[in-house]
Amino acid sequence: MPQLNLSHKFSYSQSYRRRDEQVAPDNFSRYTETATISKVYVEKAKEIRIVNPLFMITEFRSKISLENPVEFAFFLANENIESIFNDSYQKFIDPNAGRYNTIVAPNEPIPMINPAVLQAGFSYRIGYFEIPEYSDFPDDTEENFPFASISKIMFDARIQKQLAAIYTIKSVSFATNEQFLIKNTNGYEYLYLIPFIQKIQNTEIALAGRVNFQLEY
Amino acid sequence: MAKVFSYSVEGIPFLWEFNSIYISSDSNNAELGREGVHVVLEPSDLDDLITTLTNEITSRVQTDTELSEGLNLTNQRIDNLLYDPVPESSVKNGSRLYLDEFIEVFSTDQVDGLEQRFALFTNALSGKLSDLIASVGTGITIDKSNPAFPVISQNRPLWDNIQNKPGGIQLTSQKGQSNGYASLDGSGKVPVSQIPNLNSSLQIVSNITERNALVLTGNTPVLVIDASDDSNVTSGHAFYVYDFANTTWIKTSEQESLDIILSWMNITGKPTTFPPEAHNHLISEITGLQTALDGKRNTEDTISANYIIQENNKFFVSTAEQGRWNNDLYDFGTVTSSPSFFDFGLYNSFKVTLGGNITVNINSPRSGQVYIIKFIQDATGGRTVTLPGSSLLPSGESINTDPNSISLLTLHYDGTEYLASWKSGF
Repeated sequence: MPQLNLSHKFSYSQSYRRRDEQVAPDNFSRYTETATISKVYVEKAKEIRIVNPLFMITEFRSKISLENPVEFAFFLANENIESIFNDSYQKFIDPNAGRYNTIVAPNEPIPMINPAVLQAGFSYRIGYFEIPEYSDFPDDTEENFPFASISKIMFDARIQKQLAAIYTIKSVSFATNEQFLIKNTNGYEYLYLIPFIQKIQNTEIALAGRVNFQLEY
Repeated sequence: MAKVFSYSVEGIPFLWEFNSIYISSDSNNAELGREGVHVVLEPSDLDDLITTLTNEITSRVQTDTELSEGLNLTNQRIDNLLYDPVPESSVKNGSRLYLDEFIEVFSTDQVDGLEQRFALFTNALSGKLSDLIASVGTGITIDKSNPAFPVISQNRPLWDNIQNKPGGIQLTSQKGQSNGYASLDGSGKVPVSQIPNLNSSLQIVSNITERNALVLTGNTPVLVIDASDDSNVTSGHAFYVYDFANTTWIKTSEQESLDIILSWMNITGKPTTFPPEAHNHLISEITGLQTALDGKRNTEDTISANYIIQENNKFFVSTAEQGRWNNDLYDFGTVTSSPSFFDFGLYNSFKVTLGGNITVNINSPRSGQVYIIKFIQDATGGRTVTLPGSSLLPSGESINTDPNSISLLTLHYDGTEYLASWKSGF
């Protein structure tokens, strides 16, 4: 049974502009959201054990209090679930480069995520850039966030997955003396590590850190 | 002489070091200052001092500007913290991609020292709350597992602390326990586990497998019709009792044999005689045998005469010796060669019809014995008899060789030689 000591960087940010903050025609609310996507190849192992996750938060900023915390999810899924981001919104991609140097046009596939370089190199990040909060301005009833958000990978029903654990990220580093065993009965290939926020927050949020854990499978 | 100010190169203002400066008056060289005897500054030194002070002033003005900008930025951040969401318009809002663009975002978690002060306050408060106690007699229990929210988890005294309690009652903790009382289940009945076994009726099953499959709630007798699967049973039925406490089967009987130990004395109606089988016993196994044997005579002992009862059909010679003891005549019949006469352990008197010339051979002669042998010539006659080599014969005596004549030979053996005598003319 392989025992891997993993350490993955992660970051999450959400920038928000309130309605009427700018003059017309820019007086609509909008947001920009970025998050890292990490995944570990687990060879379709039938049993996977995650031991003692340690979250080291190096940066945490929010302008006002958050109604929904930033969360960090461990879940099992198959290859290429990031194709869920092949949507009708423009995205900025940071393909392990440290810069959002790739612009993905609407309905174009996003570059492949190579799990082998995620631990050593820069994080793979996806950014939804300057997305209007509502698609029906000025009525403001149809939210774009459920369709243009990192949290899609968690909540979209089209992705088959098996959730392993979710932690709430705060401004302090914390360790968990936890060992949880996951029965991978569906033979998923990858363990995904995703920071996300469930609902848009009307403020600025920025966090970065690193999660260490031991993986046995 | 000029004093070299080593600090000037480090941007530090000049200092008058009076201990090393000498100043004197122009008139009488009287000392004008402390230990000063001469004016030591030269015009070039003054120029250096002016230049350095000018640089210092410029540097301080620049530092003040930077500090002012920093204070303004800090003030702006604190305003952001305190007065948001009062509109604070920024073209970056809603467009920040990189974390460094969030530098103007201020979080309460980032205020230096605030967490530590909160921790100090929390610790002090926790210490105070931890000091909350309740005396034992009040029966109040305070749960201080969360120091910020102590909870009174019990406000009644323990049973042991209650005074003047009524006696002779049973506690609920005794329910279902030994020497307690029975509990009731959801249907208002006493659970089976608290009832003595009532299902002890006889069970009859076909084989051991069905016996083991029985779900029994107490000690139960079970008859197994075919108990051959039991290694201790060869065939037929067997009877078992299930020991519920030890979950074991106890076999009490079986068809092929009785698994009981029964004393012979306890068997009634047993036969007084029965065909015994050949078998051996040790002397020690027979009561009184050794004592009886000890009273018997050894076979090597001499039997005294008074132990002997005289009877016509009992004697102390063997059958082979009867001829000698009865002085029987042993008839050799007609012989043509030399016969071997028996020793006198068997016969004394012999009869021989001569069919040829013979030699008398006596086996194992016994000293003191007398042999009487009757010789009869056959119809031919002329047959001769040669005596043993150690025989003494009176002169003139010989066998009658006439046909059909009879001669009687007498031999007396003294252990060395035979004294022979022929008689004829019968």
